[in-house]
Amino acid sequence: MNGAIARSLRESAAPAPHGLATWNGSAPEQRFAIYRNNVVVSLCDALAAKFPLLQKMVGDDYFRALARAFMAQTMPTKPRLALYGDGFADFLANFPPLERWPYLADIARLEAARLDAYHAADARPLAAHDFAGIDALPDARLQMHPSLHLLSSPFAILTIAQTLESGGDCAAIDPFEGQRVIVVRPQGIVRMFAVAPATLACIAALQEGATIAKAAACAQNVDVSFDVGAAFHLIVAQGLAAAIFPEKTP
Amino acid sequence: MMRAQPRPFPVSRAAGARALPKSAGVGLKPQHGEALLRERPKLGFLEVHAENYFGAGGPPHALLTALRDIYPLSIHGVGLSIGGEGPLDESHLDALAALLARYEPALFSEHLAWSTHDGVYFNDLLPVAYNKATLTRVCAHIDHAQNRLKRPLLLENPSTYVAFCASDMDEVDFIAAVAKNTGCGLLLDVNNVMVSCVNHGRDPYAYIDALPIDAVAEIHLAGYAQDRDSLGARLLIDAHGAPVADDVWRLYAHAIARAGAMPTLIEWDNDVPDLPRLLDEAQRADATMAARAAHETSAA
Repeated sequence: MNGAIARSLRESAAPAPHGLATWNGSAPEQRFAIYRNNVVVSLCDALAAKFPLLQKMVGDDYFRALARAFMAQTMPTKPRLALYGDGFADFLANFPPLERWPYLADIARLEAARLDAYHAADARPLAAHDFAGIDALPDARLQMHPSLHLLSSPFAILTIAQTLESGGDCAAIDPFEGQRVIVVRPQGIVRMFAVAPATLACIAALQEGATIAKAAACAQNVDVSFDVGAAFHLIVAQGLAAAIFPEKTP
Repeated sequence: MMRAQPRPFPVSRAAGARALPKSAGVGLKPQHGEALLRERPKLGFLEVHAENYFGAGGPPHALLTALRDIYPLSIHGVGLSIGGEGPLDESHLDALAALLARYEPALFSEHLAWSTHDGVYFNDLLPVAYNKATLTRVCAHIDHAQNRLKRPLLLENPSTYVAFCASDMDEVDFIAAVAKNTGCGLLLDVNNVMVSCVNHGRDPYAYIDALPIDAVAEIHLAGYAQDRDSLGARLLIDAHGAPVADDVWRLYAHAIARAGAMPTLIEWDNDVPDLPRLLDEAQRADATMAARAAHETSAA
């Protein structure tokens, strides 16, 4: 029976399943529609909670229509709604009617990263003194903060996001000025800020387990004037790292 | 075959767990967190949905950890899919076990419903037919969950909008059989009793009179929304977006007269009011219990 109900819930045009009864002979379809509505509305609400800026950009009605189109392709697999919608950005990127607004998918990626950072494991961020006792700093590796997300977009996603949040006018923004964005929650509040391409390359290399020397070299490949000292100042000031391992990773 | 006796399961009474007092509590809403921490209003307990705390860390856990030091806690699952046809999701049980170990709540409850089928989660509490086959399945799932979680759970009666041709038992007899066979306790959702009884033309007072009242360990109260079915009969929707209705308050007084004072939760999950309004609802539940106690004292 559950299978028949599940099929009817997934296909909005499908009839109510056979085998339903009502005490007074009223139409089971109308009563079954309450379940249908609960599923659709609650999943739309879950996506709206995860992508509030996207909803602001496209408007409530269009967002609901997008959410329903996504739902028809991808239903949640787990009863954890914070995880639902991780494929929404890819869906938007491949949704033909949105071709003229290619930055929407990256706005969705930024919002997904922000929610993930919000729920990520807690960890004390490294402070300057944590680096003091390390002899061969170039050979050390860092464990980055569990909440750290790095995004590289050909669009001005951070400027768009911050403008939307402050209630400003997005019309003045050139969306095609790409941005490299760091998302991290060292304590209670999620931070988002833009960095230079070389800085992002350095932190991405560290996140992948490179030594500090290797990460600096990666960054200098992007920009010869990369300043490793300034990058370390950023790592400490923004709480991007959670542990340091001298020489080999444990 | 149904067993005649409940199978004993290892029960770990968590050392830090405080029993819920027989008074009213509210569902924890993040927007009320700061006011609760600052003002510490008198409240019997707080209840949270387990799945909202399946993340590893962050502000939700920080708030719950702080409030756990002030108020007794109950954890209410909404995603275990006890009425599902497939086996229970072991990763979900693992996450529940970790959450229960982290917070040591006084109670853990779940629903007589299903929400997952064939790897798809529908985010709604869907109904089951009441017959021998479902009874066997539901009992097996509850046995398994209680063994894995090392504690008895409370099973909540559902709100439903349709019934099944395949049902050949009354809901209340089905629930009584589950409690008897698994040793689980019951979470009596008085609003759900009203919703289901109105929706299926039954007497909500008779429902509560037929329930094995000694198994009830918690009560839920919530507000319903109202619609009409295709013949114009009242159709109630378990919307959790309004104050508790007057007829549900009367039914609650009847339940308390039978069960005695009970930990009673005010659920208000949509169009959430400010904290004082929510506390007013909780105070009304406390006043209902106090009036009943006074009535019994004067009768004695």
